[in-house]
Amino acid sequence: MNASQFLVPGLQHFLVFGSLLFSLGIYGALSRRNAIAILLSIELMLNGVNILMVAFSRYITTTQELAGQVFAMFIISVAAAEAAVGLAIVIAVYRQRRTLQVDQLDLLKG
Amino acid sequence: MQAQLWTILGLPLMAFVVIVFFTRRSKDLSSFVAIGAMFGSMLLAYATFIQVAGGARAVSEFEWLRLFPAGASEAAGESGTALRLGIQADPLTALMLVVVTTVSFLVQVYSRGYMVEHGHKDPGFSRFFAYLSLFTFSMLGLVLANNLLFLFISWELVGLSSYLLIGFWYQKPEAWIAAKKAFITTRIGDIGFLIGLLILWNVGGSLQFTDLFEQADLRSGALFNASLLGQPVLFWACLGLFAGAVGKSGQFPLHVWLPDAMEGPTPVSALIHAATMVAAGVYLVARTFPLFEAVPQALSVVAFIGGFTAIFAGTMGLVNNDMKRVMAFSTVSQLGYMMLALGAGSIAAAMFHLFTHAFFKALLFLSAGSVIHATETNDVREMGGLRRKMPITFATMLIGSLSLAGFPLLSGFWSKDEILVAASENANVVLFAFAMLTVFLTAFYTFRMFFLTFAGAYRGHHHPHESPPVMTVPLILLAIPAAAVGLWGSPWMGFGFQRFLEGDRFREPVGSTPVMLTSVVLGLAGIGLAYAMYGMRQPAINPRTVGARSGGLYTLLLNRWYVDELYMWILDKLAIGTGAVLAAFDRQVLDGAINALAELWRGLGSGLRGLQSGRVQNYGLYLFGGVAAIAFALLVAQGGMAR
Amino acid sequence: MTGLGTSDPLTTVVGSIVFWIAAISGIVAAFMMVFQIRNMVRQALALTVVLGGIAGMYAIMGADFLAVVQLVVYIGAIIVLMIFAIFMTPGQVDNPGQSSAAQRAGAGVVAVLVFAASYFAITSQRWDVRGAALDISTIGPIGGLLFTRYLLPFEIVSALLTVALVGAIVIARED
Repeated sequence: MNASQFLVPGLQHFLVFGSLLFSLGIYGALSRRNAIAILLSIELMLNGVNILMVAFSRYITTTQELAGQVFAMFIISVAAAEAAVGLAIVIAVYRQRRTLQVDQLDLLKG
Repeated sequence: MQAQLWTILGLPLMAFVVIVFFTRRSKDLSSFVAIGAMFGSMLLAYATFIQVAGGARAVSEFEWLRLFPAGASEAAGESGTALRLGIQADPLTALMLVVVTTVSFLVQVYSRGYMVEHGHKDPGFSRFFAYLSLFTFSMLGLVLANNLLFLFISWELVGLSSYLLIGFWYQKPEAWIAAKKAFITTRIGDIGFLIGLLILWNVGGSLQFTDLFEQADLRSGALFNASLLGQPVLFWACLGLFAGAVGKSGQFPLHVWLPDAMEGPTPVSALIHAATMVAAGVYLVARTFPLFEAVPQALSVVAFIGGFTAIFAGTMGLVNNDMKRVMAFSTVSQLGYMMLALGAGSIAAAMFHLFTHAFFKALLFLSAGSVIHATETNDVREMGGLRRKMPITFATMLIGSLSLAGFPLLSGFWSKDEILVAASENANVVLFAFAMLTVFLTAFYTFRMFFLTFAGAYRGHHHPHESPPVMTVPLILLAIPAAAVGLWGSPWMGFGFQRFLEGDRFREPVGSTPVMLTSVVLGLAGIGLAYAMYGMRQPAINPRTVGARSGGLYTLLLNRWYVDELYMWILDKLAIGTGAVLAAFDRQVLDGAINALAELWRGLGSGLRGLQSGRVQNYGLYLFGGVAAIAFALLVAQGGMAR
Repeated sequence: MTGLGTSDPLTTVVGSIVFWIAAISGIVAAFMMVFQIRNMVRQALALTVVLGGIAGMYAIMGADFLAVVQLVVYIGAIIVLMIFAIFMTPGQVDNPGQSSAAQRAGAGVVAVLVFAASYFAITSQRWDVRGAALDISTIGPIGGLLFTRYLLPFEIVSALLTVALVGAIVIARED
């Protein structure tokens, strides 16, 4: 793979980009203590996946189908729902505990 | 006549049911129901007796179950094997009917007086009569049965009634312990009975007496095939049946329950543990005698056990101070006599003695009950001098004791003589010597007890007085047969009893004057010795000196040869040893395995517990760690496949 | 609108430039968001940059409708929602909020492993790539698919959204 081929983005560029976002999202979700920060990281992961969906839709499917884009639509919808409920929970928890530090929310400790 | 037999059997059962379900609350009514039913049964039994004496016989049976071999069925046209239950009347049965119903009736009447203390009826008054009715029903079923199965069922019911009645005063620990002991000890014999039954059913193919007797009379066939130790099958079957008889009749080595069974109310002792139930063993052997006759080895066993028990129990009776227990040993000893007679091949002698014994022993027990009722103790050391205070009881007791001791012309004399003659003719000489010696022992311990009770001065703390008529009238009524019933089997009446029982097979017994004279002398010597030791104001022989000079023998006898202790020791060792092994197995192996499992999961749990930190991010870590692991695994798998 | 991979050099060049701008800014913003920025509001803004870049990528891949949806739903709604939530939880905005070192190390290892697995899968695979982009407007086909083939998921997602809406209100409501 020479330089010009590398510069023109293809399927693998998008895939690597999406995976990178996904991995960064994992790290963020697992290392941040603030619940809202975790939600933000999760959004990052979802978007990484969405990139992959659309990229496969663009480069792989041979027909006129747009299944990947439809899936991405669904993921966006679910993300919206998740964000709504997640943030509602965050706010409810904050009212109760006056904190969003998830490592202090360990009532279910075994 | 069949309906009559079923009625005899049904009346006591009906009384039992009625008392249990309807009249329990009314003590008087319950007792009247029981006594009334018993009276009816008794009259019908007499009628049956007369009919049978006139030559009538009856059998009435019905099919209870039909057994099919595995895989066969009625629909397939297989006939299977029928289990039939039924009753019959023949001389042996008729005789037993008379004994059982008469003694039962008199005992029940007597109980109406005995079960009242200081004017208060016993709280279990109704229960008592219900049990008595149940017992009588079972006993009648036992003697009426025309096959071994029905006999066995009744046999077990009799055992149950005996258990219930021994433990009647279940508030007393001794009573229920004795009840348990009686039940378990007889159960050991009953297992033998059951085994015998199974052998006969398996090999003989039937439990009907008639079928079995036919096969036994052939002296060949399946029942005579050689089996264990080269003995015919029938020998083992007979031994099994005899084991049942040993348990029920308190023969050595299963005699230990009978003395303890005296914890029950005295009328019960009289009815069950003297006159009827304990005689069931003798009846069983007599009833199945054709089987025993076919294998002489079995008869020798019977003779030996009987002869040994007679003298063995007699020795134990010598020193006991409990009035009822002395009589219990006497019962065991007399039952040993009967077994000896059977072993010597004479049903007539055995049944004759059973017949007379039932009356005079019941009389003795009821008289003893009268004494106990008056003195409120069983201990002869706290009695004495009751001759003037209880004249009727004294008289009846005297009749019973003389009869038991074989005083000439009384019932016991005739029947005992018959047994001794049979033993002298057909039994081992040692057994005959045992039997003779037992005559002396019997006379001695009977009169020891008698003199301790009635002679001398009163040594107790109560104010004894004669019992009420409801008790004394049965005593007087019983005293008559106890004294005179033996005459029926005497040469003076042409051996009427033997003729009745044996029918066509009757052969006139050959009397033996030496035997008779020896036994009379021995009996009188026993009475005389007892008088010398206990009857005189200044004893010619001091019992204490005798006891002291006897060495360890006195203690040995007082402790009943330590047989109970031996059994308890063996049982203890056995039970504790087995228990220890099982406990160790349970603790080490079973518990160990379970604890190890539990420990494993606990360890796992406490190890994994750390994983559940309650922090969602830790969980996320595991989750994505798993995702990564799966992804790599898939890649490796894919790579492997691609290559 | 055309996407990358056509024979048209102009679109290829423009598309490549857009891709690299979006990719580099997105990755840098994501890195900063995850590793560096402490302030919640700034984090949200960094996420906005990433999301915007992604919208651009959708566009150059010919997913025009999705690009618009990305802008409207994510940036217009979800990010706004996040920022509201941040405002409604005072005292938490500047919270440094890093987990323990062990947790962070573990998270790093796991993230690297996941990325490594993905990267290995992506590069080791021979992709059967279709050269030509779909030169069509995607709104119509997506709408058609939503109401035909994916009708059931669509309905379920509608129900999910409704439930989430109600649930969010119930949960967040002050009692």
